[in-house]
Formats: sequence, C-alpha cells, structure tokens
Amino acid sequence: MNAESSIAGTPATQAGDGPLVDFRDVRVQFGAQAVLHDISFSLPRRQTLVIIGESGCGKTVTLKLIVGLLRATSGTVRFDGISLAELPDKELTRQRLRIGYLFQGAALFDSLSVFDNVAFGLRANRTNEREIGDMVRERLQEVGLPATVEAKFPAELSGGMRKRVGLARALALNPELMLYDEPTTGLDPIMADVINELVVQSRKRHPMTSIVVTHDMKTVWRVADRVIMLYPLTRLKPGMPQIIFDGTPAELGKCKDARVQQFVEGDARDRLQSMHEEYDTLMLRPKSTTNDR
Amino acid sequence: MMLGNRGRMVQWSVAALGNALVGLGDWAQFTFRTLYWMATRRMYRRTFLPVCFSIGYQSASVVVLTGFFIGMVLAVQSVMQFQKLGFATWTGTVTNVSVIRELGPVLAATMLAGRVGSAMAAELATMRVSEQIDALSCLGANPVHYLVVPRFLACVLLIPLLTAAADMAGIVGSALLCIHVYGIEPHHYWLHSRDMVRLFDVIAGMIKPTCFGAVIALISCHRGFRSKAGAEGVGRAATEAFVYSFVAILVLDFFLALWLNALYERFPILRF
Repeated sequence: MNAESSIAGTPATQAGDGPLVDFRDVRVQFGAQAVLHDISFSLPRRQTLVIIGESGCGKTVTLKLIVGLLRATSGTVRFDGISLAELPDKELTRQRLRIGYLFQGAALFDSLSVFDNVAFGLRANRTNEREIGDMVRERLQEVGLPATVEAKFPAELSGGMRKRVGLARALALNPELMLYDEPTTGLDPIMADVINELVVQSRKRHPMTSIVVTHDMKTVWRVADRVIMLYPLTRLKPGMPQIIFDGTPAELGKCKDARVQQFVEGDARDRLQSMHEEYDTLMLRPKSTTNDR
Repeated sequence: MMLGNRGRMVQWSVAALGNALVGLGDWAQFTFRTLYWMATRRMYRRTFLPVCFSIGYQSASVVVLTGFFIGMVLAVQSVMQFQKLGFATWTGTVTNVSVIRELGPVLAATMLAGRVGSAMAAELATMRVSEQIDALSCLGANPVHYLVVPRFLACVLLIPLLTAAADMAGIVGSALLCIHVYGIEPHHYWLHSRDMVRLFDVIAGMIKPTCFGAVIALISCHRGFRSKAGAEGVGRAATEAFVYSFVAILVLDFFLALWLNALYERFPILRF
C-alpha cells in the first residue's frame, strides 16, 4: 500500500515501519494569533490517540493539518511519510481517500439523501452502483441505522443519527487513518456512549489508526490507547511546551500536573479566580476572592 | 492634530487599497481555478441539473415580470415626448432598442445577481461554515470542480436565455401599452420597430448577459467560499455577492458598450 502510494520527490515509508502520522516542530498562526507552537509527536500504526484540551487550544487545527485542509506556518506534518499540504490537487485528493474524517457537526451534504451522502466517496472511486449500494447498506447497518433512513435527508435526522451517518460515510472508504472531531459533543449521555462504542467497534472491525479530539473524559477512558493534552497558547507561560501531557489513560489519571488534573476532574476554580481578577481589573474595583461571590 | 488625522486617513486608504488588491488577486486565482477544472475534468451532472433548475426555471417568472414592466415604463416615458413631436409610431424603436441593448441585459442581470447570486453565496457560505466544503475535499471531490463549475456554466448558459425572455416581455409590455392604452397605430408601430432594431443589437444584447452571468457566478461563489464563520458571515457573504456583482455589472456594461461600439464602427460587415 505504502509502496504504491509513494510520491515522486517525497519520502514514503514502507508498511509497518515508521509512524503513520508525524508532527515535527509544527507552528500554526492565523494573522497575529498563534494556535500551535512547536508541536512534535508521532503516531504508530493501529494506535488510537485521543487529543484533549480546552476550547481554542488547537485540537481541530491539528486534525485539519493532517488531512491537508490547513497548512502549517512552519514545521512538517507527514501522513505515511508524505506531506499532504505540498501535494498537487489531484494527488492530494487521492491521498485524502486513505483518511476518514468525522466532522464535529457531521458535515452531511444537505442537498443529498443519507444514501448519497454515504455513497459520495465511493462514487469518486467506483462505477458499479450495485457494489456501492451494498457497501452503503453494510456501513449503515454497522453504525446501527435501519434501511429506512437511506432515503431521508440530513435535516430530517437527529444529532445522534447525523453523527452515525457521518461515521458511516467516513468508514465507507475503509480508511487507514480515522479522524474524529469531538464525536460526542452535543449528544445526550446515552447517545454519546453509543458513539464511543461505535468508535471502539469500528477499530475492531477495520484495522486502522485513529485520532480522536474530544473534551469528553468518558471518551478518553473508553477509546484511548494514548492521550495527548494541549494547552491554549494564550495562557501558556513563555518557554513552556504546549503538549502538557503525553501518555496512557492510566498515566493521565495519576498525572501530578495541576493543569492536567483540573481538566480531568473538570475543576474550574483557578479559571474562575482568574476571570474574577480580570473582571475586577476592568471595573477598577478592589480584588475579591471566589468565596465572596 | 490635522496632520495626524490626515496621516490616519492616508494609512487607512493604503490599507483599504492593499486589501482590495489582495481580494482582487484572490478572486483572479479563484477564476483561474474554476476555468482550469472546467477545462480538465468532466462536470458532475448530478449537481448541474438542480443548479440549472434553480437558476433557470425558478428565476424565469421574476425576470419576465421585470422585463415586462421595464418595457411599459420606457413606453410611458417615451410616448408623451414622441406624441408632442408627432412621431408616436416611433416609440417602439426607442423602447425596443433600449430594452434589447441596454436595459434588458443590465436589469435582468441585476435582478439575477440579487436572486441567484445572493442565494449561491449564502448556500456556499453555509456549506463553508458547516464544514461541508472541507468534507467534500476529504471525500475525493475538489470543491471548486464540484460546486463552482456547475454554477458558473449554468449562469453563463441560462442568464442570456433569461435575458432574452426579459427582452421579449419588455417588447410585449411596451407594445401593449402603446397600442391598447395610447392608441398608436399597430402597423406603423411594428414597422418602425423592426426597421430600427439591427441584428447587431440583438447579438450585443446576448454578449452582455453572457459576461454578466460569468461575473455573477464567479463573484458569488468566491464570496461564499471566503465566508467568515457564523450567521453574520453568511449574511455578509450574500450581501457582498450582490453589491460586488452589481458594481461589476455596471463597470462591465460600460466597457462592453465601448468595445461593441468600436467593433461596430471598425467592421462594416456587422452593419446588417
């Protein structure tokens, strides 16, 4: 697979050797706003990596860098040894079909039915409509959706169903790498658990590498082989690394770093204190403590 | 203080000019990419036909209505003057040439920029905001090829046809008013109208909407693709699509008028 996919002028690795995803000193800046600063990590094949962190710390940007939807300001992002951002349009399209992406809001095409949504990527590759039909039904069944949903349009579906259709669409191409952008956000706890289970089951059925971006600690405990925690640059002290944790879920529970502990436990005391201090400064009032309020 | 204000004004003007040039460059690149994809890969039929339905069929009634009233308004304004001079039967020549060469193409294009251009910009902006355009990229489709090329072709092919329908409605509106309300003798009305409208007027009246269609599609799709996040971003994209298209139509109309007149003067073969 990798030998076939090697691109002239770009170093391709052989199957089984080298990481599937590799970040080296990656920086991303939008205008004056820096989002990622010197991020480096590698992801071996068949591993499920969960990236956690507060809103605005660059989790989604990390996913979009991998699939080539965004370009790094500096540093290199490689997928299977290939920097997607440097590829010409047609080759980039071919390489992207090796990656499945479940978007935060599912990003289903409003004008297409559920069937056509799931079949979309397949039609780019195959001409046999019967084969496409079989594959679509199989994937919908895999994510627990009945055949009756095929003819419906995205506007007629609930949030959980939309996510499952999005997952079926991403899995339809049998990707080598699956990217999940906040798969449980906006869902009730039962449906969130269903989605977590589907992530686990998908990995069992299709041997693939996965990266999950989430705020949801239940997802972390349920699906992760490895966890990375990013910290927002706006609150990072100069010179400190942006990846503040990189280890297994078991190590995450024992981590002594207060920032990691607070995120894992959902403890907002420090944040509230700093918010109140900012408010007091703005209003030119004497400082107060959280307990006064 | 005065110098400070002037300095700030110069700084603001330079920044605005810089932004305008960057935007124009981005639009030019977007146009090139659209033409490249149109030339190098076959279009998706599944997207082309619904777009044609939306642009052509669903806009027809409003464009015809616009043309009909343009013709009638022109007739109302012209007929009084011509009656004073005793040339009432010549009213049709003025209204028909005006509708075919100038007002039909410009007003139909303006109407379509509002109806079709804004809708395209809002639709694409919503797709951008809800990550559907990113999803297209991830599923092996080039968004410019999948979304922009069908809209561009539909506008280039259908806006001239809609303009022709508007022109016809304008001619009918003018004739109905002149003949049935102002009592102008129909034989001479049609005779003078036919004699004064040249084939070149009709050709010029079709070249203009083809260019307007291309510009409306490219500006509207570009604004949709470059939309900022949120409801405000989508609204802004729709507004900008109409405003920029309208300005572009007027500017383009001026240059096309100059060019077509020069062409007419230079090549006698066109004078039929």
